[in-house]
Parts: sequence; structure tokens; C-alpha cells
Amino acid sequence: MAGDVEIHEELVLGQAADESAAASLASAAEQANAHVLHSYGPRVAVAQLDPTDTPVLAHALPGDMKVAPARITKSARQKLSDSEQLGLAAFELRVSDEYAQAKAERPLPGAAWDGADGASAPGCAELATAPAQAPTDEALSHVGVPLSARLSGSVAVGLVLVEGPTAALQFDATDRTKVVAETQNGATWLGGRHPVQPVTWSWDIDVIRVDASADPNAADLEARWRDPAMAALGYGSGLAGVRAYAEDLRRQLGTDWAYITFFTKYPTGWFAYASIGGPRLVMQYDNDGWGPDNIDRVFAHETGHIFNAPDEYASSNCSCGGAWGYYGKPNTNCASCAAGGGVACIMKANTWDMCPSTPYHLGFPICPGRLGVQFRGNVPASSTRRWFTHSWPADCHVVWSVVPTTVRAGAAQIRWDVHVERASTGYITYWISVTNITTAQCEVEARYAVLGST
Amino acid sequence: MRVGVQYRGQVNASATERVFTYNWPADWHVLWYVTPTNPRSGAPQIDFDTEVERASADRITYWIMVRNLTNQPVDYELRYAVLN
Repeated sequence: MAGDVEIHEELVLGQAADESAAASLASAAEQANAHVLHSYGPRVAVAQLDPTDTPVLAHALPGDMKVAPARITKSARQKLSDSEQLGLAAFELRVSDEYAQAKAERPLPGAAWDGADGASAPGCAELATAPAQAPTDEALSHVGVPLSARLSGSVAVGLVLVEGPTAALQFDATDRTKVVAETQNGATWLGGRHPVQPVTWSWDIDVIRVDASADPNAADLEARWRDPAMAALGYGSGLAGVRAYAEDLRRQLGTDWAYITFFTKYPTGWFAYASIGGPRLVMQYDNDGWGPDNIDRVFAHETGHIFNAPDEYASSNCSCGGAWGYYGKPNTNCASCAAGGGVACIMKANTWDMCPSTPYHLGFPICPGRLGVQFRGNVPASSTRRWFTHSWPADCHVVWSVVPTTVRAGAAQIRWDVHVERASTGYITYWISVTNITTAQCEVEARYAVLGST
Repeated sequence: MRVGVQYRGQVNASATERVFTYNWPADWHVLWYVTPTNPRSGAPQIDFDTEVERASADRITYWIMVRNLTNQPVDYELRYAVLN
């Protein structure tokens, strides 16, 4: 198991750098019921799959691709691009004992993002600030198509580590691997919350060194290092340049969505912040008092903002109203006004939990259609038994049916009825009564169909 | 398939209310179901039943009976799913 996100991941390593590699991997993954979670280039990917399907994936992959390789030669490593090498090193770190221990001992587990024990809150104020308008000449080609309307499908992440001229502003190899491992861990968790199919993250990593000195009194702390970094990548200044880079990445990598994540050791206004709806997320490597071992959760939280989820911790001055995210839903888990301060949620605290409102904000499919058997039981002759099943999301349209599983031809065996209880604002309990109209015991199964949501 | 809410109403304590909705194309496969909207935990609040009238060769009227199982008024919404 990589990291602490309870998702089984395996490394997939290829040799060919041609464009057909991704298609070959996707085809093989489909055959093995696997899903590509991370791509760092044509030769390095991380796939989610059931451990028992690893041999199936191995068999389905082209000959020059290996899943869970037992050893990786120096020669194979040297052929990888910088992004691929970092993606590989990050996965190797995530499966290490050292990483597991760091996660088990991560600072301030469960603490609200309001801040505690020397750890401050991330940059809520930034969230209320709409991204600056793009200059007219750039805006013409950069408006109308959202970069991050909902968290689904595939997402390109331009991961830019911005270094300065002094040692204090630079990332050593360990720091770089840590950043990539933490973002990989956080993205695996966040994208894994999708109820239908995990998100695929396509990473493009750059380490850019700029000449600017650190100046904590600069009028625009971010522009001081961001604009030279974007210039080094060939893009203009301001958020318009960042947006243009994200759009180029989306086009090049063929993803649904894109945003840019900057890591730096330069002074910033807050240790972590992001713009609602993108195009950029900024994090300090030291991650304030939360520490580098919590970069994964802060990254997941800030990525939530990129995909339009609001803060839920009290010092963000959140309210339980508003119309947030893909479905325009209110912020009902805001700690300031939710009953009992709300429930555990990545948008509220340092936790791997997600409250019921955040999936709406992120634009996850609500109540994806599905069929199933909720329970099986038996009903004695000429009698009625009643079952209940609870915690069905209230927005879901659910219909019930009951069928006998005991074979007895010639006449009807059962009758059933459904009663409904609104157990809370967000959840429904169904009570299902089954009457046996025969003179012999009857086995039954209660079936549900989730039809969608209002 | 599509789902929606056709009607919102209130049924008095221990009472049964019957609502109808008409002009539904006969070739649509429609399911009806009712859910309470005011929380009250611990026991079922609503029972419902559907009766059907073929109003014309190509139109159907659905009659939905909503029964309040509690001793307090219950707000509810009448939901539908068109399966085809």
C-alpha cells in the first residue's frame, strides 16, 4: 500500500516514450479492472487496482511495460525524463517504511485548519479574490472554457517548484521527491473520493530557478518569483500567464481540466492558498506549523478550492449559505453554523474525511445510477416482516422492489410495501414490509435502484 | 432516464391525501415515489400508493395516495422517474 490513503496502487514502468504508450496502458488497465491514477510521462504511471488483478494487468500490458517491477536498473532510470524520475522516486518514497511512519506520526491530525500549536490557517482571504482579468489580447483566446469546473475525468497539473539564488530558497533532491510524493498522495485520496471512477492526474513537473532575492516586504510577494518563473516557461506575467500555461497543458496532455501548483521557499502571503476555480495553487514547502508531512492534506484542501469547494473552518468566516461549486449548493458544513460545528471534512480540518456537501461542491456525480440487493431474509408463512435501511442521501431517487428467492410456482408468494422516514435533513430511512401470502416460509431479497438525483 | 419532483405538499397528521397528475404520455415508463422533507427520526412517516387512469389513448393520469403515519403534519415531495 502506498501512503496512508487506503487505496492499492502499483507502479507501471515502460520503456517507449512514444505517444501510443498512454493508449496501450489505458487498454490494458481496462482489461484488468485497473485505473490509471497518475501519469508522469509515457514511461511512468501509477495505477489503482485490486491486488489480485496485478497478474491480469501484467499479462495485458505490452511487452515493454511492467507493473510492480521487482527491480529497476540504473540504465532504465537514466532514460526517464525529469518528471518521470520524480514520479518514480515519489512512488518509491510512498511505499517506504519511512513514509508510513511519517504518516502515522503526522503533526496535528484532525486539527481544524483554523490553526493550532504554531500552525496558522491557510490563505482564506485569497479565496474571496477573483483572479485578475486577463489582458484583452490574451483574453480573447482564454475565456469561456473553465479550467476546473468539476473534479472528474482527467486533470493536468503543472507542478512548478520555484527556487531562488540562495541555498535557503532552493529544493534539494529530497525536498523535490517529498513534494511530488505528497502531492501524489493527496491527489490519490482526493480523486479517489469520486463515486464512479477515480480521477486521472497527469503531471508536468518543472524546477525553475529565478534570480529574484527574497523580500518579505515586496508589494506583490507572489509576482516577485512567479512572473520570472512563468517567463522561464515562456508565458506572460500575472494570472493570465498562469491560465495560459494551464490551458496549454490541458491541450498537450489531452485532459479535461488543468491547473498550476507552485511550491516555493520565497515569502508568500499565506503558507498555502488557491483561487476558487483556478488557475493556480501556491504552497510553501515548510507548510507552516503543519509541516511537510501534511503537504498531502493541505494540497488536497487547496485543490478542493481549485474545483470550487469553499472553506469550512470557522476562522475562514464561512457561512452556511451561498451557492458553491458545480451544483450551486450552500456551504452547510461550515463550522460556524453547522450543528455541532459540522462533521469531519478535508475542507475543515487536517483529516482524510469528506463531508456530505463537498462532493456537491466538487461536482462529483450525485447518486450515480446503480442497481443492487440491499438485504436478504426470510418471512414465515402467512406473516409480515419489516426491515429498515438507513443513511440514503435525500437527494437520491431510490425505488425498491422485493422478489422471492424460494421457488414455488403457481401463485403469488409475497406482497411488499415501502414506508419512508426523513431521518435528517440529508438522509432518508426506508422501511420495507414484506408479507408472505403463502402457507410456507419464503426467502426474499430486497432490491434497490438508484435512479439519479434532483 | 430522468428524474424530478412533480409536487410538494403537506399531509395532515394521521391523514391520507390523494393527488393526481395528468397528461403523461402513455408510452413513457414512469415510476412514482414520495419522500418526507421535514426530518423526524425514529419511525416511518409516509406510506404511498399509486393508482393509474388511462385518460385517453395516448395519455395517462396518475393518482398518488400519500398517507401520514405520524401524529404531526408531514411535508413531502412527490418524485418521479421516467425510465425510457
